[in-house]
Amino acid sequence: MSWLLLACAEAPDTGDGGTCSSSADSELVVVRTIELVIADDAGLSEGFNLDGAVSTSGGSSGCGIGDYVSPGGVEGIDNNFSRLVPTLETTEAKVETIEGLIQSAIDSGELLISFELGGVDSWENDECVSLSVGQATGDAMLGTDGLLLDGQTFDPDPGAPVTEADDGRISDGTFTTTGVATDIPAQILNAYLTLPIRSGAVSITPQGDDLYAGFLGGGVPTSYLQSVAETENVDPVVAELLGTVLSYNADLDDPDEGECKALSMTLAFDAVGAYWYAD
Amino acid sequence: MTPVAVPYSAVPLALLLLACDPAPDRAAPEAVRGEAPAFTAQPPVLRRLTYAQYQSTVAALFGEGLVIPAELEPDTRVSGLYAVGASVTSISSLGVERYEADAFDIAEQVLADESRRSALVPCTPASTIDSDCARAVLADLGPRAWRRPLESDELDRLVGIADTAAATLDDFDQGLAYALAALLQSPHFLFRPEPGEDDPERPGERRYTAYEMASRLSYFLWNTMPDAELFAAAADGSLLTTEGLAAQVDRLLADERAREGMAAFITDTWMLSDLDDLTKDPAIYTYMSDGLGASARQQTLLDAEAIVFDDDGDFRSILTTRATHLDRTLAALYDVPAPAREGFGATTLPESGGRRGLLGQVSFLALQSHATSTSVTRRGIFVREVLLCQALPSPPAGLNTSIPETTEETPTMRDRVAQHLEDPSCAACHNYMDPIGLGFENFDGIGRWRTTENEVEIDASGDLDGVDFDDAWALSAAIADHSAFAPCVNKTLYAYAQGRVGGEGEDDIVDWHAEGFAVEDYRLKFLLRDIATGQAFRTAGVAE
Repeated sequence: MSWLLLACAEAPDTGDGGTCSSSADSELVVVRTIELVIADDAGLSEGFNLDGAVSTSGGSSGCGIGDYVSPGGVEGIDNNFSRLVPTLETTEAKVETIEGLIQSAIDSGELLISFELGGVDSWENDECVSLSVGQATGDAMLGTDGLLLDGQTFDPDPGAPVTEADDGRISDGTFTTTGVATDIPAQILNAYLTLPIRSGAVSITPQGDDLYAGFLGGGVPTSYLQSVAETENVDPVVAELLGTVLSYNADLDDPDEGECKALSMTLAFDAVGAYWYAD
Repeated sequence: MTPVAVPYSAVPLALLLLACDPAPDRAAPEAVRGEAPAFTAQPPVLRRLTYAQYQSTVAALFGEGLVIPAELEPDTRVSGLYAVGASVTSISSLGVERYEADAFDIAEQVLADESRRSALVPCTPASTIDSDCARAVLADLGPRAWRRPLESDELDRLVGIADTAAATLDDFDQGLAYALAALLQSPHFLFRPEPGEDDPERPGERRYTAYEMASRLSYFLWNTMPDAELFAAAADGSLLTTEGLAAQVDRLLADERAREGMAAFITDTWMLSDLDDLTKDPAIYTYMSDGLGASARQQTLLDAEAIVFDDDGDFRSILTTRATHLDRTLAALYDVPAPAREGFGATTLPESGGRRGLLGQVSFLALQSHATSTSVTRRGIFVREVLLCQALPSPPAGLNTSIPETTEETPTMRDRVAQHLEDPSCAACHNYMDPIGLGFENFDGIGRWRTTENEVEIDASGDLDGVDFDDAWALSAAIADHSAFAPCVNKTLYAYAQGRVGGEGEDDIVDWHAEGFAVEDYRLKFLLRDIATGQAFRTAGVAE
């Protein structure tokens, strides 16, 4: 599998013995709504198997934290932030608050998460599609429904980090890729912060009329969340509580921090088609 | 003079021969169409300044930036044009009050602004009542405002108003304000009298006077009052000579203000001022915004300006070109990259898209739709009446002309129109326009491209007077090539220039201009010049 991924980066494998080549223009979509994915009581959750393992509670993989099952029956879904929600709901960091901040950032044009897909020859099946995750900047126009209009033109935000992923593919009308990193601003407790999502995965599915739906999953370093709790204007009791909760709920390895030092999270989004300015 | 008859079929041949020469010397239009035919001069009309002309004239007199109330006597569209309506409308009693109030308001603004006042008042009043100073102001402003020299008694009366008001109000400027207001609410300012005079060179014929010609030209080509040079050409009489007229027309057309004039014609003929009142249901059309109508109008005008003045190209391409001008709002609605971060930029629409020319623009698609849906009837009527100059009968009184509601059996507009046309009393007329409107059904009621309606694929095919089309683009091309389109442009421009539709005995001269338009590759700039220098534009009939 890793050999295939490496091969795709150089001269991606088309799966039919050829190499990736496409004259298709890149397609840009910009996120217009985003929300946390919360697992239901039956243990079902949308998301990704980020660590490649199907973990059970107390087991040897996944830091001993049990995974979810997707509504489609896929096992090993990592979305452990979902388990923090009941705790957060007892504080000021309610889910609605987090989502509200993110949405207002989108509507004001401060958070225009961009997914640029390269080499899409077919939205049915395409074995070799690249993805560039970054942020767009510009005056965001909202429709009469209060949502970002599709078809807008933006500039790439030069100050935002860009993640390139070359292992994407489209299967049965849905694009998926891994190795994504991006930053999502949020408000947790009293702290305004930027959630660094690392080792993430993205799926994008066209809905017609220039609209797209998708999921963004990844790991947030627990040390980052802990440092925020310790340094920002957060009630010390709550900060201590958060530290305890985080230490028990980290379910992913972090590339910098080590084993079981990241918390998996899944965000559901919908996005609209957009363009870059030509110059 | 008897015109030389040239078969119309010779025109394409001539064009073909010209096209063979890599650097053709264009044949003079008269070599193909002959001399102008005889015509019957029509009685002069009395045109009231349109609201746009009122604005531009006040700006020309006193400078830009004055606040002019929007609520004046409304313009009236007659035969599809405000320019024609201006000749047949009068002023209501309410309108008189509005013009009066507006005149005083403008006068006060002018005199309260030191730079405007100093440009207007060349003297320092010696006392509250200073007849000489008032006379100096009014002797300069009066002829420009009324666009002709003032009779001495007219000037005396205006000075008398200034003096009397100054004495009453004990203030020179307030007295002058009354005189300015008198100038601006006078019929000589608000209307354009053109009684004409006997033509000494053509006994038995009448012509417009030099000052009448100055106004005819400036309002036709600039949509505003004459400038100093045009007044000078009127004063020395050169405007009444063929050479002098041609020189002024060429000068006017070379001036930037000609773009404003052409924009006024386009705005009038394609009803673009209606975009100010564009209304759409925001629950249905999420792209609706306060500025959409203005953006749409600007797009159409910039495109027309590019064809007419920047390229001096075939005007028919306004219906088929992919070259356009967009701002961010329209680019998003059209789902194409915006060419500019601020304002408008030039761009080319994708070849693969179905959007081309005027009929792919919001200024047509949204304006000729309902607030909650498309309207195949309104779109069809616009094509028939405005673009092809084909008269359609009004529906009989009491006839229900509404299209049936959407049902499971009639998911698309084509289905609903078919049901509608089952009624023979509807079909008689709607068969003439609705099939055209169906050709634009890939655009929703605000102008967004769509391929389905109620999840059923849209069929935008049809035929226009025997020419099959598959989609809106092919339909636009068919309209551009329609034998009635270019003559309709000519006919409308002629009516716009004259302030009336062509009258009895004018058909040949109107057709003659159309022939010249065709010979000159449908360049609108040529047609503007052709009409402005034409004998029919200079010849006054006898007042009825």
